Amino acid sequence: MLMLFLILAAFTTGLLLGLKKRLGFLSKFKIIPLITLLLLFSMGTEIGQSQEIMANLNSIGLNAFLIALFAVAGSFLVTLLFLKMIKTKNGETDD
Amino acid sequence: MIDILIMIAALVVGILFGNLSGFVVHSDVITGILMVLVFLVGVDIGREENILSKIKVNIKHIIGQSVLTIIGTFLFAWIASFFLPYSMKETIGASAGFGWYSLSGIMISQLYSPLLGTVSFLSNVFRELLSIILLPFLAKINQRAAVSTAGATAMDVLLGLISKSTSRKNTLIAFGQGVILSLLVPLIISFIFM
Repeated sequence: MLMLFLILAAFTTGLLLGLKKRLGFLSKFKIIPLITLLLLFSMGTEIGQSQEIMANLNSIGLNAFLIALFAVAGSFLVTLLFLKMIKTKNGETDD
Repeated sequence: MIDILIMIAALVVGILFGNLSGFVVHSDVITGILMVLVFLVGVDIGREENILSKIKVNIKHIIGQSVLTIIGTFLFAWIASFFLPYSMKETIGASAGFGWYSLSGIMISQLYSPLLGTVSFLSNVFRELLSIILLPFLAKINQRAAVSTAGATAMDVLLGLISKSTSRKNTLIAFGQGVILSLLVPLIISFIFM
């Protein structure tokens, strides 16, 4: 709960400072990609320690692929259906 | 494309290192760095040139587009959960990165479990790759529906491809969708796993 609050606070503070054009110098150093790599490495050490994950990497990959496939299909189809619905109602095209 | 390979490499090196040496980066340290990352991402989104006016022009379409992308993703993730060894909450949570694999994977492994964090990381990597491959073809059926598949990556990684495959207006809407979803990813994941 505390962590949730801290994450949201960090994000909102950053967003407001960004909108005010503060801290622009930060983007010159490509800090975000570096920190992301550091975090992925750290996350990797946790995964590498976990027998549960390491023993099931193949099935985890397959399950992840299925989630991605459904997410892509769902976002395409729901948007398509909705746009077709308003098109027939208003008789206008959007593309 | 290079970025995705470098990030996967960082994760794989971490996995090998953790598995072989037994060394684990302490969870509090990861949380601290994660906060710095989320802060900087906020600054970066806010600093985007004229971001508010770019979004304002097409705000109605952008909000509709973002809502449809979220509903489509969550509805089908929920359906997928019937075929998978994960609960509805876990499957929808894993899909809630909308292609932003680095942040969703790290956040879920901190807030919930490294196992589901791994699932989320991989499934969002796959989402970005599928979208890169399929978007030019799907755009021939319907441009806006094709843009939905790009999720949060519509504002950066996929933007170039989208501008080649869709109209100028839809490219602007795609950019807005990317901004809105990128803003929502940390919020939605926090609320799902709190």
